[in-house]
Amino acid sequence: MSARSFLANLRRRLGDPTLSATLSRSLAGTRAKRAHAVEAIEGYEALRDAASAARDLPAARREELVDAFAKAARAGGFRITHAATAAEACAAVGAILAARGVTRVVKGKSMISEEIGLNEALARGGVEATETDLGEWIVQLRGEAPSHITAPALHLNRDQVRETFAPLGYAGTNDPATLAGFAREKLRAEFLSAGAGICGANLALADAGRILLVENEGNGGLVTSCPPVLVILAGIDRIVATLDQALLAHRLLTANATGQAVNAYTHLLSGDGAQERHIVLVDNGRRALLASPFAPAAACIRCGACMVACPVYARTGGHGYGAIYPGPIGIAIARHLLRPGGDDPLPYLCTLCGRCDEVCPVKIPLSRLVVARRGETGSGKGIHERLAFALHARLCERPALYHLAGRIGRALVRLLSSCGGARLLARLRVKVPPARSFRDACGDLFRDSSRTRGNGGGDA
Amino acid sequence: MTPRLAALKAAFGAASGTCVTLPDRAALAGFLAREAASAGIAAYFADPDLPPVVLPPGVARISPAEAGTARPAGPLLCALSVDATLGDRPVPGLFERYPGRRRMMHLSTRLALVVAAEPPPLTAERLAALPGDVTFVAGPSRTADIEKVVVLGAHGPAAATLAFVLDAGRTGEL
Repeated sequence: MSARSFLANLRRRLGDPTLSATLSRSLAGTRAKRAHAVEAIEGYEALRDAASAARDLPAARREELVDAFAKAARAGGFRITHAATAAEACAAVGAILAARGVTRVVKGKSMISEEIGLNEALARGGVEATETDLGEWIVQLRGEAPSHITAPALHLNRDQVRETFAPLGYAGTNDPATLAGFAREKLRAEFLSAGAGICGANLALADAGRILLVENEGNGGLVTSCPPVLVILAGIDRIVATLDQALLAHRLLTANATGQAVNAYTHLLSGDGAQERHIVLVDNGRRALLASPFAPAAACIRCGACMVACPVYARTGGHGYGAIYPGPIGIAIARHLLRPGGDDPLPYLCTLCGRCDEVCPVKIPLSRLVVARRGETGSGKGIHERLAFALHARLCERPALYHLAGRIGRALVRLLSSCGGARLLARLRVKVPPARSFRDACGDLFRDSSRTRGNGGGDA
Repeated sequence: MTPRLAALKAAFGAASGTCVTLPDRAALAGFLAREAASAGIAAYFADPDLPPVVLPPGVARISPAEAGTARPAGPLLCALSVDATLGDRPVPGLFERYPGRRRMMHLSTRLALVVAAEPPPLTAERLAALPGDVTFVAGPSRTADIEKVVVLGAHGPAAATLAFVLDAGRTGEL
């Protein structure tokens, strides 16, 4: 996405009053439920520390876990395929389906399938994929991407859902229960007639060779039990060493994702069921992420709490980012997993308020990673921008010079304004400052307090 | 009732499930028969270790041998025995004792989970020895995907009951 279309998309989202109202209502409720669920967990901070230690592993240890998981899963009956890229992963799934003549699949919610563009790849191969998570089905019908990793239709209200269902013959009210009932009826036949199921993995257990899948609707259970073939897509970052570590992450995941003490269904899938079962282990930039300064982001358990807490996400919604993984974690991982072309504008969708750091259940230092991403982005800028930032850095180191520059700048703006430059200033979104700044008016007060604290500060 | 069973009961209730306590297996059979007679039930499926139930006219019985392939013609009542809990957490779990057991559970409209003894926590050692899948069920199927309004029965059972059978011979362990 070019910078121009990125900004145009953002402006459209920010100017949408329906989106603003829907996000405001939904996010407030989710924040409250999460806070309540987290409060109810005894020793929550100790659990965060333990989960962080278990998930934040060096790359070499991760490789050991990948090997151990693949070996145990294969011994348990799964057929394992390794995919280095998105294209390889899509090709692997396509080959499994083609070998069995499958033309229709049902899918459980899987962010990694969104990441690799699986539905589009399957469609090119003549395979029709139907999403079965209610929110995911709604956005699929609308031709949209999910706007949140655990609540795909968070950006929509009930009237918009009713409009989405109308072309399918829905003539009922906008009551959520009635709308959900319509989806249940429509999708039930799909589960029973599809040639294969496809789902993601919340976690993969290296000791047991099993996949842990978390859900509430029961569509995950149907996808993993009704069709004769099952394909599970798992990022290599989903692997944990033991069942105990998985249960710890699971506990934090449910509280932080949906504000529940425990989700409705937790599946531990093995490879020796009645279905023919495959796991496609996907790298797609994860190894590069693990080898980079952004490796802590690989500890993410995909709860989405950082998005719910983020003041920027609350205004733009997930689609404002123009990336499959939005919010603070999206900024941290997008460059490795999604590889956007050109300069990545995402790091600037952040106020650095640090709320994401506070809520992250595995203590990923998200705001620090965002700053580091900005550093990466800045390194690719032109000479003018680099000079401007270098000058700004110098000024910030010399408070007297900084304030002098501020006075000169304000005087110049006032002069320009009085000499017919008001339109230019408006175009540049520069406001004419008052004759006396807040600091000028309260200068003595600031000087006194800085002296009292003894913190230096030049002539401030 | 032991502290672990009491915790199971409290957690299931908090997740929109209902709990009943029954004195023996005959009472369980009566309870399941009443569930099968509830509005709209068209088919009944149960684990073979549960007591035989006299079904109302028009309710089809699905046998465990059919669990992997059966397509219930209408709303399904499913009755299953609890095998374990989710580690030390009070969430009932079901093993794939025979092919299709999980499938029937997910296809059901009403679900009855039977607790006849204190279920052991699932450990890594126990999991390693288990064939097939394990599914833990905290309550009815649910979604909040439309404006965060909770709706029960998204794809799986809209109603789930945890039935504690305080059989006279097992009172000590319960």
